Amino acid sequence: MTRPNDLLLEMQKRMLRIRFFDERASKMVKRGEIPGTVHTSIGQEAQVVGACMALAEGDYMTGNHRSHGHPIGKGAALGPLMAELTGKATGVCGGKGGSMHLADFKVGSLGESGIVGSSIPIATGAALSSKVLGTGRVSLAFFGDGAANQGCLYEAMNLSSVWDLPIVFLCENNQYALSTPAHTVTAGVIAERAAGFAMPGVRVEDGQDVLKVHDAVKTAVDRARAGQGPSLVEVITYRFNEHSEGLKLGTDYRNPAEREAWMKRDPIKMFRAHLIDKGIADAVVLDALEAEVAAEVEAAYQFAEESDYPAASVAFKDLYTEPFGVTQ
Amino acid sequence: MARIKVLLPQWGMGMSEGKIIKWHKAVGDMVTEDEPLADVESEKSTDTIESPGAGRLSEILVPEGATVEVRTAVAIIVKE
Amino acid sequence: MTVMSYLGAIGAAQREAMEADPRVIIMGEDVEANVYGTMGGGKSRADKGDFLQMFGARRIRNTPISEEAMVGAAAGAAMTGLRPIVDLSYSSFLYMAMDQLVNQVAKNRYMFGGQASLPVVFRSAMFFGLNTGAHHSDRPYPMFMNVPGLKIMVPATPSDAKGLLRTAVDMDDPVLSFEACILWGLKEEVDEGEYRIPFGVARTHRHGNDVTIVGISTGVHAALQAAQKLEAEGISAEVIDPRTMVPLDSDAILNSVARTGRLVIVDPAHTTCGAAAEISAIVAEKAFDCLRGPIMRVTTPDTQIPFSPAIEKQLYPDAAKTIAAVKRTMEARTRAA
Repeated sequence: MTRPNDLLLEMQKRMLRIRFFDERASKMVKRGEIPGTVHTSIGQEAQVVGACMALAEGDYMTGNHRSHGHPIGKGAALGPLMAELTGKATGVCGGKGGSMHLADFKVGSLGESGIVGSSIPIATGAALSSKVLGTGRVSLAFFGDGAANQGCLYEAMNLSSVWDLPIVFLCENNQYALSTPAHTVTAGVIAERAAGFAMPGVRVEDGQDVLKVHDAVKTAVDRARAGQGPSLVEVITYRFNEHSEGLKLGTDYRNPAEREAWMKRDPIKMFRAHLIDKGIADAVVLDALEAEVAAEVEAAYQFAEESDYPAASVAFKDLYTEPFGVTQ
Repeated sequence: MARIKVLLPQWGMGMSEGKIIKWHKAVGDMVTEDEPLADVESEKSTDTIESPGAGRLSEILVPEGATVEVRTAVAIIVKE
Repeated sequence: MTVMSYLGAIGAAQREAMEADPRVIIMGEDVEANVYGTMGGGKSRADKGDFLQMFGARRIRNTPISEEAMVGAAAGAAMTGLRPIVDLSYSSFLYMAMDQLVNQVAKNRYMFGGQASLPVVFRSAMFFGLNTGAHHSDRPYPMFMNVPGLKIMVPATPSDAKGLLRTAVDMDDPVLSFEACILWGLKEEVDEGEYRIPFGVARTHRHGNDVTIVGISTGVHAALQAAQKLEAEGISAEVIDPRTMVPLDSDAILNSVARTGRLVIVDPAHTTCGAAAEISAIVAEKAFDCLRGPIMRVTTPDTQIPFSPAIEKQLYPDAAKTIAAVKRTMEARTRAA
């Protein structure tokens, strides 16, 4: 596939945004600035951005607790995301969602779910409305290797196949569900389960390569948009940090040598080298890009810092469109 | 002069409080960003609070042996 | 006005909603063949209009047996422009989709700070009293009353079913409708034109002065039968049907108890944490000074539903149990002032 240079640079930019945002978020958790925890996408940027950028602006997406990368990958503004992590009124969900429940409907991000697998049927529904209303939009459901064993995935795959829905099921296989290695709890190969539901299943072995991910997901997205129905794409990747910031299980379940080997395959460093190698951008341009994104993240941090918390009454808002009782 | 609050972090979703076991720095000491400040014991682990910034440790708000809720300010650093 | 059965009234409301708005779709198991009689005006596909023929396969969809996917897809579709009506067949099947109902449908508008609205209706029938055994006889509405974010209707008559369902489809909030199967054949004069019954407005079937009887679903009919018999004994009973459990018209109940001083609640759900328990608590909290006797609940006891016809029916609230409860609250004395 030929891709215009500005698309490639945008890919690097979004990967950098995810990296810097999550590194900052990780620091904020360490310093008690973010209540609860965050689940970072550090190391998985190529998998997230390659997929998100295969979608059109009006397309829909749902995701999971490892959430920040998804709306960022789809082009959401960083300030309201950062403010949401700190529970401020200016957060993208008004402070009501937090890290695990980010949603930015302006960019088609219909919500990250804190329940593993639970948002897959929601993405299926977005594909259904696209089909019934004839809007031509495609829907993409992000889920992990852990969610790949939830029943609702298979119900959704079956339903999508039977109804020819324009959806891509994207498994972010970072090989561990918290502390459980995927292969110990997963029968067979996830991508091969697609055949059982009469849809194509593709496994991207090198999920650290943003272009390989983009290729595979774009094929699936185009298929869906052309009315040819759903696909399953499984992307093999690795999370460099712990399952959640603050957890200290570390070597209890992951071999340090394995982690080191994967960290040598840093998607951002690899793509930078690729861009330079192919003459698409030089070090000066790419350094400036990094500086630009670093400034963006810093500005987002300041925005979050300076924003106010929501009023107590906000806890009673947005439950119903026609409220009653305490939610009035 | 900017004052930075050093907060007790929440290490893990289930942590609600922590006990300061040992302060590694004293009032008046200069500290650098990420430098270890205090050891903390919680329900599931022992961990170390790192400095959120560089400056002078101007106040210790929670002494050794005391238990406080997460996100409580335990010290103040003044950026000079 | 025309005579309609409860089932026919639901069909009429669905047809109205489908005709009024192209974004309304109906999905569920066996909806294309009108197996439950709500997908057309009459008893069979050909009789009085076949929805599949009228509206087409794009908007009338048979689903696989996949409650989780059905409920979640309906929610996702509602968040992105459709207004689905989901037929979940038997209320006992809702549990297969509990996560979607509780963690997605009830929470998405709230968690995402108002970015979403979920104009979706989930209908299901409670088959209790019809010898179908424990897996088909549940009355789960109390479980869902405990989940903020859902609205709940429990119509007891054809006219209520039609007006409430129309409101439910037009509403931008998610609604669960619990329809007692044993009422399907109940007939009433119903306005065949468009009308809507608002949520949170109770219906007073019968005015009275001595005792307030709140009936839910089949409990309404038990209450009305009891009231008739009590009248012959000189006891004047007021019968109120809240019609919607969420929002609940507690004012109507409180105003009635303020006059009568006595409350009996007839609710076919199980005793523990049923709707009757919630109403009792509200009245005890807010109308304590008005009460002249204990609040009585007539409910299905805390046991599972047996298959054998010989022993099932005895479990459900009926007129006799309601009368006994009324008499109990009327003879009890309150503390001396």
